[in-house]
Amino acid sequence: MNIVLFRIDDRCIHGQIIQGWKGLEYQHIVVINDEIAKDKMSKQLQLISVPDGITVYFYNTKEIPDMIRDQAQNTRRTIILVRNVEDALLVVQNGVKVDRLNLGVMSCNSSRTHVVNNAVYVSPEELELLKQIAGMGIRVEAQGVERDTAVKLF
Amino acid sequence: MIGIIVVTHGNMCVELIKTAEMVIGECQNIVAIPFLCHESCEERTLKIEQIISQVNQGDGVVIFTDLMGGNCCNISGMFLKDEKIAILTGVNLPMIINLVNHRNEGSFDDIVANVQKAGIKSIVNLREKIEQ
Repeated sequence: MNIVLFRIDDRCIHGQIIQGWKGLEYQHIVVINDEIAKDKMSKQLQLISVPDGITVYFYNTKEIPDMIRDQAQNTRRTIILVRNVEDALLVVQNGVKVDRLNLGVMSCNSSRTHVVNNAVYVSPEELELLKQIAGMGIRVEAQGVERDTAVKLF
Repeated sequence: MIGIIVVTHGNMCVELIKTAEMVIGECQNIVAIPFLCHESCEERTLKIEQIISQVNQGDGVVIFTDLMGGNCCNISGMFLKDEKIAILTGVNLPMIINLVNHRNEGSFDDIVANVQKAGIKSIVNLREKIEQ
């Protein structure tokens, strides 16, 4: 797998992915999320802005090993998207190799007391999970789009 | 009366409605929903749901969104299962003005189709237009 971005984003595929990360010249998006994977309408909505030529695959979290098997020989420049820290941890625990985890959009809620930037809020529990990910040699940083300066957490 | 909702990233929707009112006067049954950076998808969905029920008078609701495939569009899209809800992306001022001015003329589907046409027709390269 040729992973150019591994990102946590509440909104999965949206304007920031399509317009804000063009410079990566990605050709392939893998979305890993239980709710989206089981809902046809959600999948259709995720796909509407994706330009021709970019392929998209959806998996639920149980299918991560299948995803790794399916995508192993895929050389296309790939973005992996998850919607939360727990799923990001599952991806790397299953053996997906990345050197960086991008925190794109993690919306504010009452338990997310740690403010990283205007779109990334982290709870104490999530901070621990992110530390765990960082402990696997992965740089954890917040960055909305390419033009933003990355804020390194770990 | 058809209900109108304008959903955009940031306050563009609020200003678009204000600008429309500068041109055609006070508009009724139209609500702006700005999506702010810190809000979750769940909060946004709830907000749209509440405003739909507020503006829905039984004649249908048109939701304008800014960027096709953006979060405003994707979240609004979940309400498409209701046939009397239409979503038009790439909102511009002529679309809002057209809908406010013609919201009682014809069937819901025809009105929506005309608003879409008005939006597309309003984008011209003025030099080409003049030199025609």
